[in-house]
Amino acid sequence: MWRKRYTVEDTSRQSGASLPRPAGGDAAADVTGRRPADEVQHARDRALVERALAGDLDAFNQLVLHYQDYLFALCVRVVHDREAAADAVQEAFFSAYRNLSRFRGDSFRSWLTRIALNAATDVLRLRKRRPSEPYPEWEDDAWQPPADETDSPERQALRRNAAGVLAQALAQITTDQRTAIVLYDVEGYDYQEIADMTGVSLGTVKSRIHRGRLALRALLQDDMELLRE
Amino acid sequence: MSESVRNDVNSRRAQPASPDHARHDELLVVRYAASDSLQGEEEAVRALLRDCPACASLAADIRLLSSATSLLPSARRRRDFRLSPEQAQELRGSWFERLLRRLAGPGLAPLRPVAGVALSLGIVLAGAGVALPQAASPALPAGGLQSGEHDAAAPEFLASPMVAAPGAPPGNGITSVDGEEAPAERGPTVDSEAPGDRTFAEEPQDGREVLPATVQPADPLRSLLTYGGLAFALLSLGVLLLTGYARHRTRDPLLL
Repeated sequence: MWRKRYTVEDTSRQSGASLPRPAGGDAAADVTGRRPADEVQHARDRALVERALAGDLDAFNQLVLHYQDYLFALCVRVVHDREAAADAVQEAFFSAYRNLSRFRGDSFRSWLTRIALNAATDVLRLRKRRPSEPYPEWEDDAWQPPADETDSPERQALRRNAAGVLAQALAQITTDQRTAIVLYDVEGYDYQEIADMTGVSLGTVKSRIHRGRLALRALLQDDMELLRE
Repeated sequence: MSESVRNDVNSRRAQPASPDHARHDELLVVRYAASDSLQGEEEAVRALLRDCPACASLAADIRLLSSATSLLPSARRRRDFRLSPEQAQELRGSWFERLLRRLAGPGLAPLRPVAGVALSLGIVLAGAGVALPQAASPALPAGGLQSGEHDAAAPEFLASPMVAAPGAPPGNGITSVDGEEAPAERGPTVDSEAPGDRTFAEEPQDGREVLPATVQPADPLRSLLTYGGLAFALLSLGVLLLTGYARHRTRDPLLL
């Protein structure tokens, strides 16, 4: 399940100053924390997986169509290189197709995300041996800033600038911290889901997120004003 | 980002930093800002935020960062990752690779622990079969059996002398190259008429004859346990080795 926060594992959260959540509230969630949209998505994915297992390549390609944008955006945020991210996504889909019979989980999206993160980690490991440009093509049209039709061109430029500064800072923190922050803040997974995906404990996930934010704040000490715009 | 967050940050910014801030636990503040405070921490952090403007500013910045991170733009994909039939065919692999993947898959995952238990069971059964003759032998008297006692203790075929098949030539039926028949050898009989034969009957010092332990009936239960257990163990070992090989061959680092 995704786009869901504050599940059973989050009972330690206290009331008070809570962060604005990108995923919205959980008003529609049932007692298990699962939302009807999740159920529909899981049912659709399971049906496609069944068909793909029976040899229907179109069914698998429908899964690819559903998830390729999401996986690519995620991998770019983790590896900060579009070509490398594309390779990671390609490898992830290859691996998913090869091992489709091993999928037994609840969420195909989570399973695929875990594979893609492992592929991205492999890419990063390779890149350490073969360093590339630290941050590519931020200014080109390959990026889709959150556009607000009512924003003036100046404001859009400011937003773009702020996003670029933040992305640069994200690129400088550790991969583990970056992955945890992207999964939590950007993709909307909860702590437990991130722990399951990355194979670490719940406490480690929280620690990575908190320390990552602290590191980001130190890096952006002089640019916080930009983010306020 | 929300207006309230922005106002909060701006109001905190204006305040001077506390000289004691260097001694404050920033992670405590970060946890609080993320609503992840542990039990009992919250009150302490609230007091800290009241007294230390730098900590208050940190909390506001953390909230702002989280809000801003969630709005990061997405990279636009330039490649289509759908698989072509040729790629799919290549990824599916040969029938053997598909078999190995099936063996290594989660559907047959319980096979390995079951085979492990079966292997242990087979070894135990075979061991029990080997150990069974001693356990099942009739207990001999301390001094062995008297000459006249083994008729009752030994099975019938042991008590009676070996009888040649009707029509069989005298001796053992084996003739040498020059046509001379080899002398008949004594079968495994307990023959009190041949006290000199020490292979199968011994004369103890007290004059009583003792049945050697090697002369025991072929126990079908023993054979069943020994050979059945051995076959069971070998079969289980085969399953273990095959599934282990399948797991090794189909291991995908991206799935770990």
